[in-house]
Amino acid sequence: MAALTAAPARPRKLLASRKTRVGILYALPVVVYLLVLFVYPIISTLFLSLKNADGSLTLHWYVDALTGVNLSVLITTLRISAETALLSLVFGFILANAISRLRPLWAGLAMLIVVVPHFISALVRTYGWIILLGDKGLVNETLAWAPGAPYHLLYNELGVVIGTTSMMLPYTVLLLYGVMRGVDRGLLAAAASMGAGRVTIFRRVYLPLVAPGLASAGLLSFILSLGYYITPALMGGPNQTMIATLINQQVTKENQWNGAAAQGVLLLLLTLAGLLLVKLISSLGASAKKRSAS
Amino acid sequence: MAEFGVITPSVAVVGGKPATATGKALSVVALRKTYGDIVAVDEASMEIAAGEFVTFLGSSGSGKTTTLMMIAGFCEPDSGTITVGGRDVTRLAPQKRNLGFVFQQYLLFPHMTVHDNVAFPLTLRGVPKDEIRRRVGETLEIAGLSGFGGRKPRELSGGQQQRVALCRALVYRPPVILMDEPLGALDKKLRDQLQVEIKTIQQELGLTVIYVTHDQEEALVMSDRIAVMRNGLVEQFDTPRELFERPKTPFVADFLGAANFLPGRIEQHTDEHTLVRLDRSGGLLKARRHDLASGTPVKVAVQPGRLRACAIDDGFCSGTVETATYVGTLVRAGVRIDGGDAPLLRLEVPAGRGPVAGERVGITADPDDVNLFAGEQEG
Amino acid sequence: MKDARIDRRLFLRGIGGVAAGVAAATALGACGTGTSRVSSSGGGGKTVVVRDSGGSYGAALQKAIYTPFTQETGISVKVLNLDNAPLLAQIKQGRPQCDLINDSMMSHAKYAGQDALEKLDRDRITSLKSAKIPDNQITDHAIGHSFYGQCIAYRTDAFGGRKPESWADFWDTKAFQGGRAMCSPDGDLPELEFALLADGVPMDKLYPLDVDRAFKVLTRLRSEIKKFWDSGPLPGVLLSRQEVTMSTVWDGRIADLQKQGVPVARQLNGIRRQFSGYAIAKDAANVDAAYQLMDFSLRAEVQANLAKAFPSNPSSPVAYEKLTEDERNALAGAPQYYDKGFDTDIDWWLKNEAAVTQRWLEWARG
Ligand SMILES: Nc1ncnc2c1ncn2[C@@H]1O[C@H](COP(=O)(O)OP(=O)(O)O)[C@@H](O)[C@H]1O
Ligand SMILES: [Mg+2]
Repeated sequence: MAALTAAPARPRKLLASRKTRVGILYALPVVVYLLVLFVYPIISTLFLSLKNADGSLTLHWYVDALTGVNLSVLITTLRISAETALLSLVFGFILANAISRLRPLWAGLAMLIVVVPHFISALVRTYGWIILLGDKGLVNETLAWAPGAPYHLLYNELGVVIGTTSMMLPYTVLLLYGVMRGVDRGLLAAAASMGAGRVTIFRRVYLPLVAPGLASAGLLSFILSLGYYITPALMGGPNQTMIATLINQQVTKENQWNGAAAQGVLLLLLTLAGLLLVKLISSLGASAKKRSAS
Repeated sequence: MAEFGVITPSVAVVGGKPATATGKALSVVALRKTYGDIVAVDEASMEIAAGEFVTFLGSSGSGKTTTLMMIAGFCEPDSGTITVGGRDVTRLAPQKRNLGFVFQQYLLFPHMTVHDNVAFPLTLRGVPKDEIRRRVGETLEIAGLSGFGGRKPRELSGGQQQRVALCRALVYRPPVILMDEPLGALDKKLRDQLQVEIKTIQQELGLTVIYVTHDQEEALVMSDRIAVMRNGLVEQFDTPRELFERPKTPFVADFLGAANFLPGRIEQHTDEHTLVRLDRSGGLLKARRHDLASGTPVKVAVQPGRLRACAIDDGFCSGTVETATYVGTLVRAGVRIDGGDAPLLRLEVPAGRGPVAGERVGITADPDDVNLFAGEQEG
Repeated sequence: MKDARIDRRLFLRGIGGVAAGVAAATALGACGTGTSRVSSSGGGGKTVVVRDSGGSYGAALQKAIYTPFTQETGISVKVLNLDNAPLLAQIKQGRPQCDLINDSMMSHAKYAGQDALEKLDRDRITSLKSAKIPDNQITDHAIGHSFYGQCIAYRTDAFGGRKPESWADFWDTKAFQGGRAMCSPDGDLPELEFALLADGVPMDKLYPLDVDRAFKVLTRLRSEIKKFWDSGPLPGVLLSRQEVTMSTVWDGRIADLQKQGVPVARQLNGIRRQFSGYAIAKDAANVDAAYQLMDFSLRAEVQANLAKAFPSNPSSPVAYEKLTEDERNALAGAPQYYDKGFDTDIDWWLKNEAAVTQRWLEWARG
């Protein structure tokens, strides 16, 4: 303001430069925030992962991370994450769909039930899962008559996927619920008025409309699962060790930051790859549709 | 009153039934729907012929949409029956009724192109691909949308979107097409234009249409018959001319014709006419013959266009012209009737012969244009 | 983290069941919210900052040690809950937030290796003699104050009245049928010693561990191990839910289950002991007060008081004499049990932990 009144001769130019300066000022916190919280840690992690004990550059941490046990842990991590993403999508869809049909009050209550397990300590949850899924648990007691019982639902990959899926459900349900609420129910009525049955309406109208939500929900739970290790440790066995566990072990037990950094970078790359994949698929789908339309 | 100028010609246009009319397309018998204490639709009954353009007209909340929704199957009636082409569809799911529906909010599928939207009902019916393309193309052409097939709905204007919605509803030739205030979201100019377009298409293709609106002008322009609804009741189901000239209730007279109301009492009957003594002016008014006992309190209703100014002693009452406004070929006048807190009568007379402000005039009307309603109704 | 795990086990010991889990979670959540650096100059009175792991263990320390210490000396005690890594980082920067460190002896050895601890002047710790702290718990940089043990826990109703006497019985799944649970490297050091004991290696000939032989023996049991536990309460949960009939367990963790009437018992034969101790951070602000608090804590009667408030096993043999018969019998550290077990060889593990853990991971995935 002072500058403006002081130099009335060239107010325009002053205003312009002032504007840019103010703009930079406004952007500064965000830029600093991003630099401090994202760019700096990522770059320093990258450096760590490329540094030898004597300070020279090396790729051997990556070679380490991609061979032997580390590689199989990585593959396990990807597999479990994919399974979790798929299952939490399916169950999330069913749940969100049901909830989106409820009245707001009931919807809120149902949502609470979905979300609450998130806030229960890992230990209590462990206990709960054992009561539910253990060899002498509720599920096996009720299915005692079935051939092959008791089923081993814990301390294997199935157990882990059940656990991680339950942890992911709040995310997928919330995300899908939002998307589903955004779908105009009138469109479904319109389809019905033209003679479309429930299955057709679901397949040709509802599903395409919530598809973007499905993609992002699936991706979200995949990415979140990649970094999980508490639930896999609780509900799995050694074969379900996830890459985050390894990173944690290296840092906290062996004070081995370089190897951990390399695995962290790999995890980041996998996450980005996942993002890219979904983007690619959705744009491919869109262009394919365009081609078929014209 | 603004719509008055349009009424007269439109009545003439819509007078005759389309040549394609062949028997009943849809009939509704004693349809009733309640929401708690609210009676949304009260024993509605009507028969609609094939090729007819029928409008449900009424103010907001009068039960138009509810009736339409029951016909479409989106809402289940408490009682009553709905028959389409002789088939009882009362308890059938919407998708089994084979009706067309055009919504106020268009409700085009946003993820499909215009072509795919219109093709949608055809693909459901297993129509071969080539024929789908042909019929969609034809339909889009009728609606003036050729060349828009590849666009997404959001790339179209509101009017274009509603045309697509119309195409989508008629491409599969349903026996009846239902439209719920389809032009409600459009501006006046576009609305006028689309009214004509829809009417033209309907007549050309011989479609049976049930149309919902709260706009009298729209109803009069488009309809073969209009069901005037009020508080869930069908007050009168008739041609626009009948509604206008022979309203069965004061509400209809007011709603469609913006009639002048004057309280009075039956004085006596002649062979052809009924004489009414007006309460305030004490004048004697000659009306069409009514079967009401002498002494019955009545309400006299005359449309502004059917009142005439005459010599001061020749009319059934006299008064002073307070306002006189020229509107094109008409003069709209307000006449204060002599005697007490007399009402302001509204007149519409051809310009040139109109009264001027301050003039003392008599008021008269053709007995055929005077409607009587029994009971002491408030003005 | 390693340290946090050990301490979590410490303060959870004796508090079984779900409630403990909740407490643990909240307590752990509170870890790392350290108090700011306090120097003795502030507020006139003297101050000492001690690092412990908080929770119910921290509460017991407050009651049995810190409060009486302040009453006696007038020095106020501030508590800091901090993980190893940030603590180490602070010390290396020359500005440790705490003076006295209560941590596992193995952690202390690691700190010492990083030159993060003051070399101790034993003359300033008079209770070393009065409490008869064993020589093997006195190092240049740290003094052991208590230990926890890892032993067998089993269901008393699972074996027709017979009870397992040794690690050999733990491995004998014919005589003692049912699933087993053992510790994962996330919970504690791999349990190679138990395998060797089961295979007949005498307790005093364990170290240096024959790693190949240990893994061979472990492999024999691999298919019976249903879960590798990584947190203190899990063995108790698995036993009470009958998911397994026998498990390794941190001693003390099943006491509450027993009180609740769950048919479980411990077998102290072959118990592995690991010590915790005190050390003084390098360049600590209040070295004198830290010595005073260390000295106070190591007194036999103070160790005994702590053992009453929390089931930790004092390092001072004299402390046990100050306990009642019942209190003494409950503690695995009581002299009458001492010959049943062995002390973990920290030096061996310091050298081999990384390699053994790596090998364990490969073995367990087999
Ligand atoms: N779903 C519903 N629940 C409760 N009342 C309703 C519902 N739908 C309509 N109504 C009531 O029924 C009456 C008729 O409504 P509607 O048919 O929508 O009128 P219109 O279409 O003529 O404006 C109104 O009083 C309205 O409030
Ligand atoms: Mg409506």
